[in-house]
Amino acid sequence: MEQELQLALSGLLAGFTYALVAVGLTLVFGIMGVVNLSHGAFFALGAFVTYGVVQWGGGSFLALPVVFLLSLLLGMGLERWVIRPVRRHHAVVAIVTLAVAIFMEQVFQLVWGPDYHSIPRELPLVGFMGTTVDLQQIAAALVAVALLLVLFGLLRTRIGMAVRLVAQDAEGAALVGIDVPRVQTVVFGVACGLAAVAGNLTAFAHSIYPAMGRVPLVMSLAVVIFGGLGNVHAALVAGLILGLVASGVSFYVSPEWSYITMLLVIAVGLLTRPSGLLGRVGRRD
Amino acid sequence: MRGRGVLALVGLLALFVWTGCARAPGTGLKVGVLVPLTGPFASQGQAMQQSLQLAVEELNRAGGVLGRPVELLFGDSKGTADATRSEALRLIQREKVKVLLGAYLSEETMAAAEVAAENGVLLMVPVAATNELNARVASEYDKYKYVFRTSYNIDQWAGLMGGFIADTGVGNYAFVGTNIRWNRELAQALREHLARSGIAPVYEEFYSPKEPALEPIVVALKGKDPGVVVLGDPGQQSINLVKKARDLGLNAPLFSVGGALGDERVARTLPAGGPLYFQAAAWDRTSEEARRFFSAYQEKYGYHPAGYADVLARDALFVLAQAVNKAGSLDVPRLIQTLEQGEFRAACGVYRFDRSHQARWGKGEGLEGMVVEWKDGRGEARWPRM
Repeated sequence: MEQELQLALSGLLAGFTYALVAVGLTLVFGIMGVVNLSHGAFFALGAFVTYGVVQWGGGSFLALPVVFLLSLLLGMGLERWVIRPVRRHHAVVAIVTLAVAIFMEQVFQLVWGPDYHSIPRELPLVGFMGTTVDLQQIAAALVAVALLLVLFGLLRTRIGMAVRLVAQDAEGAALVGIDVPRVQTVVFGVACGLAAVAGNLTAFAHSIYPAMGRVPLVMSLAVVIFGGLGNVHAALVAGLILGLVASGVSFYVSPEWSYITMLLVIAVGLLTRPSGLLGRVGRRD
Repeated sequence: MRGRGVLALVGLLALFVWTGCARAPGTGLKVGVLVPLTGPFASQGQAMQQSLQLAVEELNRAGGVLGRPVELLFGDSKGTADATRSEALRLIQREKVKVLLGAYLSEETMAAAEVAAENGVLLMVPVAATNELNARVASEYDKYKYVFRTSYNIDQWAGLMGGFIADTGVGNYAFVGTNIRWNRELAQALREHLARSGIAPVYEEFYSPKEPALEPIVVALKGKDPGVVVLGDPGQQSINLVKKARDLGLNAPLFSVGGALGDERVARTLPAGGPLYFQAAAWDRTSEEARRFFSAYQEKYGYHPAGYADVLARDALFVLAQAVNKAGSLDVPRLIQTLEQGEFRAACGVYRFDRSHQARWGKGEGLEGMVVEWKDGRGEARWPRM
């Protein structure tokens, strides 16, 4: 029982931070209708900036605002000057954002080298009901949950209404006086910021290296597709489900089956619910 | 006036001829080096490149090879067989190298071996471990006689690791690693080797190199309570696994195959817990030459080398240089004969090649490797005891 509790706890805590990456990706798709393949590179940027701040003697949580602001500004700049000129051609956007991801990886390699880096944890571990509770992971999950709550809260405000209107009908939003390009730029920047924050929050638990953003990108793409493209709430639920499935299969069957089972769950999910886990896309159509 | 012009032209011509002649002796041994400089294995490729640059400086300070300087020409193998093949061909056909050195992965190295065999070019293999390389040289000698491996192969690797595990006196062990071909071969070879000492695995699992769920593996390991956990993963997931193991209270000794966990900059950031060992080809105390190499590397690049891809690449170049000096020429058949019959001293010990052109690693063979333990961010040689 203790083993199961430990697995559920670890899976849940990790799930919240990874949900940040997926939520950003689905938010961009919902608002702009494009898939940002440089999203994983922003996750890596968050980890590298955190590593840099720790090397300079600062703490990883201290790096959090720096990471968010830097990625927000970079993301906004990327949307304004790189994506917007080609935004009407979805395939071109995918190629351009992939090129940006490769460019960013090369920059990481030039600045920090190709080696694996690592940072130590700052908060201790405590025992609870026979399990080990990672206070740093709890703090990271709390920050992730707080950011997600702020995001969901913002979507219900006047500004959020404008964002939702752009997501539903960009032309209609423009007709009622909403500055659609500005909304898209800000949302893109916020999504990049969330990915980078996820990189910051998980940096202590992982190795840090230039190509580290590729796997989170693929995983969050899978989560977003499984949940339903453009559905922010479904991305959160899908992330947690897939995380628990991976843990369960790894423990009860074999670790080598966890990845393939996860892909199988996604395939079955899409076959039985083609509009996504919560069916948002279906309703929109 | 006209005579002066002719004189000036003749003088200019003489100058060109003289400078040309003066540069001619500078063309010495050109070695084409295949290492992954980009892609997921760039970290190891960089370590090999840095060691080789250090080695070539040392060789050239000592007069080079046959009195002429050694020149390294790098090709980026990118961690793929295709890139290795095209870079090997470029180095042979365009750069006219007679010797190749590399690559890192077994897949890359098998591609390089094919190109070397087809073009009659010598290939020194410093890292890749697959047993298939020896099998090819043994079964098709005339075709693959150009290939020599200085690093340990899978069987030898299992022997080195198994020797240490048996000496620790544990009754069982666990093996976890990435689900890739050489790792499965290593797990099997280790199982067979340790079976002779009555030591059996209580847990043996492989995970996807993509995004493994590491917590379940650690929880399962804790339940099995193994005497030692072998980490068959030289990449980034091994760092994550050690962190997760220590965080979840798995304090059994962890024994890594090396690679990422041989990096002292990483070791300093890992949580405290039970002993953390890794397999190295050499460490400071292996030999005086190793001590000098590690010290020079640390001075030049600011950190201690991991004692695997770095020192093995360096040794491969030194073995080659000694072979060329002994053979007295760059003639490939003579070089092959010299390598087959000679003994070559380098940082890891004394290199001798068997019939399958495999350097003899193992107890009493002159090359024994080293097991290193991280203690407060510093590597301390633990085995073999000297």
